[in-house]
Amino acid sequence: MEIRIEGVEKDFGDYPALRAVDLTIARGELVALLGPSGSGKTTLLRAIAGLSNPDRGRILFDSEDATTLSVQERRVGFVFQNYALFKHLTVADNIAYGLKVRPRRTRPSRAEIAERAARLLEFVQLDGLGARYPAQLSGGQRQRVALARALAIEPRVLLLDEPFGALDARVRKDLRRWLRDVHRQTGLTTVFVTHDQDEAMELADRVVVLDKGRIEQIGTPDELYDRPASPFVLSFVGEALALPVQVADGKVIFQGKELHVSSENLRNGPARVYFRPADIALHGGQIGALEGRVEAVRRTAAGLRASISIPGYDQTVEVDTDDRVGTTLGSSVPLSLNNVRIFSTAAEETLGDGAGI
Amino acid sequence: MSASTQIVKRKARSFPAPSVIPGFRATFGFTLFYLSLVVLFPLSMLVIRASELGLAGLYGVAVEPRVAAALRTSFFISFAAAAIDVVFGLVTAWVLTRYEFPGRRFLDAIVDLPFALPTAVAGIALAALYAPNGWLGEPLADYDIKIAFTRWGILVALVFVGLPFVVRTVQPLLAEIDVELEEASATLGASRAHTVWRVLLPPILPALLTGFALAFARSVGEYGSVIFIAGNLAYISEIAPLLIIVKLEQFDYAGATGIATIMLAISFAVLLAINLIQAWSQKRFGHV
Repeated sequence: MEIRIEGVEKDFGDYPALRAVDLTIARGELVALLGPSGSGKTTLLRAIAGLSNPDRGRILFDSEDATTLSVQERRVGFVFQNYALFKHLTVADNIAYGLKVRPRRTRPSRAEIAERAARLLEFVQLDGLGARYPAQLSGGQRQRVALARALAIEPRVLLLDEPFGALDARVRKDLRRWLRDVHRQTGLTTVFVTHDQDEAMELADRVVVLDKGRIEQIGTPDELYDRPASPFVLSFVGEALALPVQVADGKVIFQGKELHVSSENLRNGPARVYFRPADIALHGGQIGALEGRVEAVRRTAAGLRASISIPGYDQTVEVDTDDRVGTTLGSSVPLSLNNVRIFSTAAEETLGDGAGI
Repeated sequence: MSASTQIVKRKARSFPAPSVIPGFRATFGFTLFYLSLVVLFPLSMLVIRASELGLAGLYGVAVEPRVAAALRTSFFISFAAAAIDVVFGLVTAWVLTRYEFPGRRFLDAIVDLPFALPTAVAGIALAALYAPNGWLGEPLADYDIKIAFTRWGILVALVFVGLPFVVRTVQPLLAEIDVELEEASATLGASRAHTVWRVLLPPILPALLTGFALAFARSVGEYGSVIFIAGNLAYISEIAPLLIIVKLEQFDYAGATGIATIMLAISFAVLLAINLIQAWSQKRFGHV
């Protein structure tokens, strides 16, 4: 089923939790809502589920306006961060819950319910554990029970709130791969919330990056890495370093020297040059506009890694090199930058791409 | 080798199982001593006194029509009052834990008033309120409903004194229930009523039973608040504790202790039964 979100806004008191959110999620797509805490990602997910109502805007399931539907009527599979399993019910009863509560007309027979619960247990690889209570399961197993319970009602969409948030790193990795499989097998339109960019990038077809209740960018993992739309996306998705610069008449000035990066369409005034740690390198040739001081050198498996401080910049950068001679401690070295992106500090919007110094 | 097996043997025999956390012996001894001094010793005096009657004499006291009527009044009305308290107490606890509203803390404090008030004060207040010329008694009298000086009066007084027990036992458990459980139930298609019945009530059932037992026990022993509102008509609205006083005033010590012993036995049986149900429900619903 397709989910269309049109101009959804939500305030918590004075705090705008969602602002003018427009988003279309295609049938069968696996989408991640990514953002720091307080970015509104969980609020958006809950609005889709009907667990909270947006103040403005509407949410459509295919062409049906879901905004007026109650939680029960929306038939969404929702998986909570802390599983929200019913502790007094066995695993099998937990899974069957959504079927047992149906009105008599649409309720499957007792035998059919039991059979479907057993099949779902098998599907989530927990066959034989149906008689246990949630307290007797590990975190990863509980999460799978929660998923089986959500799938039991044959949901129209599957929504997961930080599905792996409470699990340790190893289990997370396994479950991630497993969730991908589940998605492939069920073909359900799936939306999950995460603050972990690795998780979002690894799992999702498309990632929606949210910050302060706004959508910062929607794109495939490739697009987010290669063409981040804002400084926020750039630094949230992967590591990024930023040099404060001045733009004047098409020139980009750092510490009084011109950086040879393209500055088309840049407004005069303060700006920042962003680059990934991998895109800074020791430059074999003469001293250019950007230079640093070698603060420390360490041996790595492949070669050397130098910590280099850049005057006027308060962080040291780590650069891999194999030049033993050029990196004596305390010496000045020329640096080159690739794939830089420049954002005006004032407006914080993308204005120019750079191709290197 | 032999030394180690010896140690193992000694460990197996020792009581209680050895633990790195000390203090069992001291606290267990203290508990036994105090329970004996405060509870068992006085109660055994009661039983010894009653044994002077002998079983036949005890039976004779129990079947005395006035005594039987008073015992029935006491236990049945206490049971009814505790049952009513379970419903009201649960709703009250729900409102106090689930919702934020102005005056919540104030309301929360009011719940404890029946605990704190001298019971006679409560009795006088209730009697004044429900008397035929009282604020509530007068309009009710227009509909031919009499509360004060009838069995209904006893019920009202017992509901009043028992309420805090249910509220205070249920409250912490309600506060612990995650709202997400209700949301999960709703996303799975369950109606609100179904959610309350299947998701919210089971985990708090043991606490509800405890609250019921406490309210019931308190009601059976309640004296002060009841005698002012009950009217104390023999065979109709006379409670067993009052009858004990009456017997004492007539210097019928054997009769008084006889009634007391019978009350003790019935109370113990009821509480034991509730405890067993509770243990069962804990096993059934208490998986945490």
